[in-house]
Amino acid sequence: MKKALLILIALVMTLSLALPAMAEGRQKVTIRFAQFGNSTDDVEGMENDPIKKAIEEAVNIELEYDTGTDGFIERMETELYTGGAAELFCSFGETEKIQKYVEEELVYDLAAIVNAEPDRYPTLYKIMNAPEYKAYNKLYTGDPEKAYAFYSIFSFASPIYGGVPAYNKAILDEVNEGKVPATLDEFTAFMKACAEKGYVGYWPRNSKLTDWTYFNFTFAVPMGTSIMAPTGDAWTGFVQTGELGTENEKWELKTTSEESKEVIKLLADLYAAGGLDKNLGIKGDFDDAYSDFAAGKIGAADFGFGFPTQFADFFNRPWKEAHPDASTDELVLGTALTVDGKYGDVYSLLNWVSYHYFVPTSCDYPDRVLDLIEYLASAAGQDLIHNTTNYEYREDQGSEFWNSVNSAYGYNDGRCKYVWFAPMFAGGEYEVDFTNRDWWDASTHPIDNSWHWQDAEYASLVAYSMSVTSQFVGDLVVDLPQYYTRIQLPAEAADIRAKLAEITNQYLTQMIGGQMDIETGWAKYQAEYEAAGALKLEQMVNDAIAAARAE
Amino acid sequence: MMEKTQESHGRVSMLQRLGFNFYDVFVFLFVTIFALLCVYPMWYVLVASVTPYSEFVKGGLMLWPSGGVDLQYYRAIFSTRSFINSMWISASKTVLSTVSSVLVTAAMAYGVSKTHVKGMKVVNALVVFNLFFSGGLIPQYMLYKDLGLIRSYWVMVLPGMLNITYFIIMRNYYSYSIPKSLEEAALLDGCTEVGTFFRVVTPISRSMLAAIALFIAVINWNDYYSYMMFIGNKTNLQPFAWILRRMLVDQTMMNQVRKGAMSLGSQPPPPMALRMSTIICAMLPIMCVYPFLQRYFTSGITLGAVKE
Amino acid sequence: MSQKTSAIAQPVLNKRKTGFITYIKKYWFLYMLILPGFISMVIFDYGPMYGIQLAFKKYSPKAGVWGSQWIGLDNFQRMIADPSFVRAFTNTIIINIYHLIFGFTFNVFLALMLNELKFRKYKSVMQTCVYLPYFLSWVIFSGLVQVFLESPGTADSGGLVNQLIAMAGGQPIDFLKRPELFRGILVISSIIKTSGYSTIVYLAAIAGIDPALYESAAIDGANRKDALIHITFPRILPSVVIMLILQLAGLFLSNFDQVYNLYNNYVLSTGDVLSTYIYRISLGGGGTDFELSTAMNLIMNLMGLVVVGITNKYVSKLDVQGIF
Repeated sequence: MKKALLILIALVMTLSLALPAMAEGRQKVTIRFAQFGNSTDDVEGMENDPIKKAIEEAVNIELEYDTGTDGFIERMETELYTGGAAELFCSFGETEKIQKYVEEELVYDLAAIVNAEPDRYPTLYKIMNAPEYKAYNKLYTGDPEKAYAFYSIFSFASPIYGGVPAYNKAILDEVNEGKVPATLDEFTAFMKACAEKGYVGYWPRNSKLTDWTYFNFTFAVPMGTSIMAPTGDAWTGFVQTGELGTENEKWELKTTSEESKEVIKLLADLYAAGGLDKNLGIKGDFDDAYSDFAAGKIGAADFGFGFPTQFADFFNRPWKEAHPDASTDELVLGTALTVDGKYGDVYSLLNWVSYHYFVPTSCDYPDRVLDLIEYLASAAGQDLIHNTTNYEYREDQGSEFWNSVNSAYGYNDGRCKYVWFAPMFAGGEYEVDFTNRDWWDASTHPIDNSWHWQDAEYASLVAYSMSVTSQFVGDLVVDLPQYYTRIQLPAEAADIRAKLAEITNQYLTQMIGGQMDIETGWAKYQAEYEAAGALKLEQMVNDAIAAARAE
Repeated sequence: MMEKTQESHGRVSMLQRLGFNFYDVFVFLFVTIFALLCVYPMWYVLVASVTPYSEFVKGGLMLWPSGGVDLQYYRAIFSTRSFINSMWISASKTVLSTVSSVLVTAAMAYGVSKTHVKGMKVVNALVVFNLFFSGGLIPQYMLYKDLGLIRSYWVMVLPGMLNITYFIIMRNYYSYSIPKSLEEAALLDGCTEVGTFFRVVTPISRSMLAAIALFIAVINWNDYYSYMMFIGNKTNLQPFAWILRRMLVDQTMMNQVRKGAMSLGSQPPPPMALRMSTIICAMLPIMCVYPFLQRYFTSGITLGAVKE
Repeated sequence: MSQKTSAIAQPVLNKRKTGFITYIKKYWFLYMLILPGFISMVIFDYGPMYGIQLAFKKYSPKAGVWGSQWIGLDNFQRMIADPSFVRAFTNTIIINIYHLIFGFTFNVFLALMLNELKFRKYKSVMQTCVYLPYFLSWVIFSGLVQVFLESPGTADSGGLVNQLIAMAGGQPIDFLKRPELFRGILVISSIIKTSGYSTIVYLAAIAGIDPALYESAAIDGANRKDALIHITFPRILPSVVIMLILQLAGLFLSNFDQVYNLYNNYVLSTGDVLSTYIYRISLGGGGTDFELSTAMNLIMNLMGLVVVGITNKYVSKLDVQGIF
């Protein structure tokens, strides 16, 4: 018995000594990692990035970061289709896309590579053989044994809502006696009052009027409808009218409904009155709008401040950048609005697959790319990119250290984690412990270190924002049953959804901007929606939900 | 020549005695107003870019910098490393592609202009056909992928080597603007074809070549299309034209510069002001070569459109 | 180079069969000259043309371009059924016709006017001014357009044009967001940017006119306007025609650079043109439809060729060197 144990220990020791040696012995390769929405403009900062260096040394690779915003997903896809994709790239996984990738043999079956060498990829081996992982495999490709992507699970610790504005306290005091609007009427009155005093009332993040999320949260949700085109989640643009979670649940596409028409009329009215910025759709969100808000021209701005850190980040940038001596009470977080005392419904899942990471077949060394993922998923990798030692927060590397690392990539918000690989294992950019927990457990119970590193001011802002949000989030957010993660729309739906999104962008832009008469335009809007297959899509969504429920 | 016709007019009025009539006044006003339209926007942006923002927001015609000259936006821009790097990329690719493009295009245009030589007419037709017919963006992308040009510096240089528009201009120039007798005389004097080309034709077409070189240089300096389509994102390959475009539309670039400005100790500069300074930075090199360029305009390029 | 003497005076005579080798020996230099350009053309201009088959195929990355399945005219049917294509197509043609009617005639007019300026010094200053914008990229130029046309917000005074309108007591105009104004903005900005440069060709042609013509006309009692119409204009007509063909050749093409940098979501209905649409569906953020974009490009090219063929035929009857 003792002998056996000794042999085992000896074996483990030699292995643990031999493994890194083997990794070093492997050829040095370049791995391009493509991820949406970062920045790579700071060449100097990137060269001096200690985390990048540490990863490169640990896996014996050279890392090349690639990123983009407008058209980034399409560029990745074009590269993939023409055989030149990044060695590791992520996309928002739509089932039909993944199926096409598989059909065209564009991406590797990662499970096959991992299962062939369990010793080389101990963490990944464990992950890919988790029953929940296999369930997702089956969902995406029909075969539980084939993992064509590495899935990143988005989980929240508590229900969270990202749709309330931040107010400039000085303007709020001036036009509304400091009272935070709580009903839709109060809010519209606030916007108009701002306009009369020469301010812009409200600036929601809108991505040049292609993103209607914040308009929707603020105006459509309390009015019991949705002005969103069906994009993103299968139920976006829909309102649930039956009984959720039962056979009677029924989803209605509300984008072109009469209720939505009222919302647009209201918005057009506010636009004409100057409550919305006249350059909405021309000016950018994060440069011009941030700058205008900081300059005291905008009464309320809306960039997802219900997410607790978002509000704090907004205070630090742009507000504090422009007002170095600012105190935290200069910004006020708004509340969700009501109509007739009701909040309306915002549908949300507790957890879902947020990103998919692929290794393209054009890459000659998928095993080396998996070495990278294995390292990052291991305790050492997680410790490195999440500022921990054995999953415990490291006090010696505070936000200053991380700011200097991350600011090379466009982030200096005081987060103590590495912007490049943080979303890879948990969509919410939390740390996950794959070593001591199984995959699903670890993914749905991410380690949230965000409380340790913040300075007192930041922490107070986060606490404030959480306390405000908690007052209404329970009444507002409707948690969808877990089977909603398994909704699969048919391939045809993607085309319809793309067309509808384009139609919505055009009509809403013109109707709100006053270039199209809403009364006459609305019928055309509805007609175009129907012609593009809106009814068909509605049926598809309901069928897909029923199918997921029945499974 | 116009003056001559003027003097010999039949009817004579007061204005005409002074050398003017309504026709002249109209011509004068028309051209002047249009010329102002062409130049004023640039002047406006130049003045605005050095005007302190507090003055600028007051509006106005910006005829002269009021409130003093303030170069803080330029400092912010030039402290951003990707700006400097992109200037190098633009400069090097402009030089490389201009030299290669002028050499290749001029040589080919000269050869093809000798239509009596077998095959030249066919080659000419093949080249001109491309002006109207191309494979399209995706086929281009695929070819470049096969050639290993995607995400490579050379995709900004190589594909433009033969410039078809200027090929036509140069071909017509060689056909019609160089006196045939000159070449023939050279050949009679014992010059070879090689000698004729280098010693006779090239010297007299110098101003044409200079003008076209500068035109092509400007095109290359302003080019961001090849980067946008075929490179996408590679920080150290960004040409200046792309940085400029991003400054105008893309927030991440803007943030980078504003951050740089703040590290210099100033307030985050307003995006609009930074955009205007960037526009000026992009115009500057062109403004520098412009006076030289203009000398060759009319003398160099006659397009040889008229059969004479 | 023994045939030197015979090569000189009448090269045409040598078309007699002198044998391939002697021919090459004689003209080797000219062939060498065209070689780099020829290779470049074959690779970069003709090279991509194999990809045109995508227009008739369903692209499969696995099978590659050659191996993909032929599907006949499906892509073209899809194209015609696509309202965004139809819209982009009509926009392209309408915008190009505007350019032709307003831009093209303005260019000719400007050239004539510049030529009529009396003082040479002043004329050359004016020329300097009007050529200048051509050398700025559309990125810069559209930046200028935006700076000038920005509409005033509640909190700021907007671009200069709107400031002037406000000063004159008028209502501010959302220039950049009004679909009905967008084509006008395209044409006017294009006139300001390129008209000056376009006059070079015409001014060069005018410079070549024999002064004696004007003198004799003046003796016959013609005034300057008459001289302009009856002498100058007919003399520059060949250049006008050449430029016209070039412009017509682009009837189905559009200035990607200009439109891409100026348009926004508000004005897609009048401003979205084929090149921007093709870009959006191939590389620029609206899905990746390789086949459709290739099919559109092919159709555009073919139609352009037809127009050029027709005009070139008419033009060859005139005493002008065509472009072919």
